[in-house]
Amino acid sequence: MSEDSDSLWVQRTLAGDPQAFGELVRRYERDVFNLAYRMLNERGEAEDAAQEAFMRAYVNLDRYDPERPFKTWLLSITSNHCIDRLRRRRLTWLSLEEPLPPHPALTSDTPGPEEALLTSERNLLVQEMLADLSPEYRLAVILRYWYDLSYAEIAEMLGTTESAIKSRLFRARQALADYLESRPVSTLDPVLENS
Amino acid sequence: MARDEIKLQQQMNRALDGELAEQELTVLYARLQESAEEITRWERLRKTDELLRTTPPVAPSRGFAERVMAAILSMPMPEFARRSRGLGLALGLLVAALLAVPVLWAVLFIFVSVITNPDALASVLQTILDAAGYVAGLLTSLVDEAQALTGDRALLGGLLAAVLAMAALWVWLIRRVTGGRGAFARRSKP
Repeated sequence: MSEDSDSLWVQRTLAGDPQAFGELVRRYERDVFNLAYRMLNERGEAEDAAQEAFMRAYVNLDRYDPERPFKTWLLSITSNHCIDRLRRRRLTWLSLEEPLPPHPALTSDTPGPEEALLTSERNLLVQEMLADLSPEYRLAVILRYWYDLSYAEIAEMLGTTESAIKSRLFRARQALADYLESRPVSTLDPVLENS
Repeated sequence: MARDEIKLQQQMNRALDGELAEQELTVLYARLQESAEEITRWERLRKTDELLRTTPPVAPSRGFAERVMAAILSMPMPEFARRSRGLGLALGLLVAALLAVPVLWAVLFIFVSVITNPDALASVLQTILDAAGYVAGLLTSLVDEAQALTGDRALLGGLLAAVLAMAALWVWLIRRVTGGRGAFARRSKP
């Protein structure tokens, strides 16, 4: 999908055709949702966050710089919003002294044919591993592995340096490897054997 | 952490990112062979990397994009859309004004010419009276025709059916041209 084509839909939206934005929503719904889900680890909240990210992108569309890829700009909005949500979530937990949320496998909002992939053992294991990282490290891992962004692109998105992202990613990889190593032997191990 | 160890970790990181040339990879593997601990660490990193690389993205539930668009369309119009609409309206008014000025000038010219010339004024008044007489005659004959038709019920029924069919055809054509987004469509929404 070309960036030129994205620019065209952006221009049409800016010219007063809100339906043109629908094309961009359809084009990037999976990318935005996946980022929100990997960050927030809860399907319902991820859909809310993804919707909010699209709404923020729409309202601020006139601030979008057409020299940059639209997808990167959209993912940047999504990641900022997810970080905000995680901060608010943490504050809520601290103030209410509530117990930690249940493991994703135990939540009831996951059944359905479309969610077969989500509930797969591989996904659960990956989500479990990501949840163990700090939001900043988690974001670097997600942007690198699911969006194939370069260190420079990730650094630009997160407003930091390339070397900082390299260091963040290496530490995150080590933490994930340690987590994987420390897990008790379980039925999930065939997943690792196959990877 | 020793400098050597940091460099080794950086090389492992680069290897995972596919940034090492074949020769550099050979050097890295040779360096790893020197320590069983480093080999284990590399294997764990490689396994983690592979697991992340092979996990596909998750998709939102069905109809997500439609829900997002419904939420967006229900929002107040953003600033850029208001500006765009305002600009369109201003341009439309400008074009209308540019077209109206010569037409108004022509009308004014004719009007002044007529009222300043008694013969022309009389001629215009006569034309208006003739036209009014013609329209009155036309209406009278239409009323007569209608009265005659009420005597023939079959013909009246056919005429009504034809009128209704024509009206339906016009409604269908208008809705098709406007894309079904006319006043009817809006009123039918809850």
